[in-house]
Amino acid sequence: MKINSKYKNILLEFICFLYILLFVYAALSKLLVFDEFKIQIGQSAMLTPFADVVAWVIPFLEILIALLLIIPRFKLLGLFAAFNLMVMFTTYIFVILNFSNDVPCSCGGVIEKLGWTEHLMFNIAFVILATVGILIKNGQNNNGYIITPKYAIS
Amino acid sequence: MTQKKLYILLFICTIGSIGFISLLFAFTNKGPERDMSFKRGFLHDAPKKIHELDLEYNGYYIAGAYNNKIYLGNSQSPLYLITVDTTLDHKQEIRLAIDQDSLPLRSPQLRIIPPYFFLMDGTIPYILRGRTEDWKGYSMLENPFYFNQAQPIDSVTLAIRTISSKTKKFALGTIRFSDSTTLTLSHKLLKKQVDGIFDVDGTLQYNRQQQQLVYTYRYRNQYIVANDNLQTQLLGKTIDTISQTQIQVGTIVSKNQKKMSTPALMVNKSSSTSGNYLFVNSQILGKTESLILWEKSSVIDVYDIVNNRYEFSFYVENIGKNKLKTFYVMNDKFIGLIGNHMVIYQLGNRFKELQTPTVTVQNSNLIFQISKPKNNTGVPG
Repeated sequence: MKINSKYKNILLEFICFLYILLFVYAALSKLLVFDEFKIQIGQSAMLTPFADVVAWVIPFLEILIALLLIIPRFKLLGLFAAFNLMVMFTTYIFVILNFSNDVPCSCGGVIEKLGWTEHLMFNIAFVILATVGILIKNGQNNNGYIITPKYAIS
Repeated sequence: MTQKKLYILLFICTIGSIGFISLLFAFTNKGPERDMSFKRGFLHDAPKKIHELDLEYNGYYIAGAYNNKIYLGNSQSPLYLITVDTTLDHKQEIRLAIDQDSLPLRSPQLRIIPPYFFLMDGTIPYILRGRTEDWKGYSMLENPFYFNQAQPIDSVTLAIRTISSKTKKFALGTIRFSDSTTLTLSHKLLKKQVDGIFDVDGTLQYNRQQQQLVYTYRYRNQYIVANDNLQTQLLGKTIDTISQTQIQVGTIVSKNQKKMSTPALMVNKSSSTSGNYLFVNSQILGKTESLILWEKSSVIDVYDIVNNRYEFSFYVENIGKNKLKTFYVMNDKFIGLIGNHMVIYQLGNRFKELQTPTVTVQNSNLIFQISKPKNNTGVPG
């Protein structure tokens, strides 16, 4: 049973690592071409009124969440924040693709090369990862670090 | 946190995030722009769809139509075209021969004004011309004249839109192939409102019956009619009231690019002209028009460009989810491409009378003297 929790911990760290990598990369690739990113946000009819705010807030949030994930105390909070942001991104893509004539904006760097369906899949995968991370982390918190979580449903 | 609480929290987060974005979308999604100040006139006896053909491929564009024959070019393989009768049978495939081994493929455009055709790409740039009897194209352009829209006026002249090297703004002009190729630009036709590039965007057409250029602005309610010498003949207004272009342009310093930084309010998406008339696909919903009908179709407004007058409008129905992509009017036939399909609408009798004049052949001996040596050194045959 110890081994089980050890693997879970590795999985948790791996999920956090993936998220940190993703968010830091995404934030930097936005900030590096900030004027372009701002224009892309502005082109999205849904975000036009808030383009200036959104363009700053998104990379800021991404870095903040990455920091939360690094600090052990805030890991669960970070995972929840990551989960929320990812669900929002996913909803945004889904809504724009299905209900609007616009094409969604705007991811940085190599992520831009994904097609929109792939992008949707990519996001959903990350949402699932965050969910798994939250479940593991919460189990650890409930049971101390080493003890196996019990799956009490009631 | 217990497992149960955790699931509840995750559930709330999911609903909250999805709800937040959905609400944001619901509040910012305005739908089509409605202009309460005008009302379209729809005929009791509206143009009807008389033919529909599945082309089984959505990459075609209309390269021209003449004498009840429709020519469709293919942007993916520029040397391949098909012709179809206006009854939409007798489909025929044609392969062009050219005087060079290969063509760079960026945005090739084929234009057919029998007995001539032009294959051109103003971004490379090249212009090939040939006759529709043998479909062999010969290079015409000795100097690199760049352009981003072109319509043949006659066998030796093209109307073009390009970025003027003098003003760095869009300008209309002509390229004329006589003993040497000459480019003439008019800086007066297009009127700048914002930046002279995005705001003056529009569709360039040539009306062969009137021998006039017709340029319909995309982001404002105006069209320009000019003669072959690039002098304004008429400044027409489309029926909506968007006289001021509503776009914003931002600069990406690192790439030295300009881009539209907000969604633009598009007024006139595409156009075609034939006889006395200009046909415009408008994006502005008028007073008392049904939103349901609007979503299921595209509206075409018809203007009389001789008397500067709005005539009437009609709807072109979507096929499945696809809206009208591009269209071309040949006398009393409205030819539209929708998704994989081609449709023909029958216009009223008053569109019928005019005969499309045959292309005036000017300096043809001279031109073929210039191009023949290339033929001998190029593709054999």
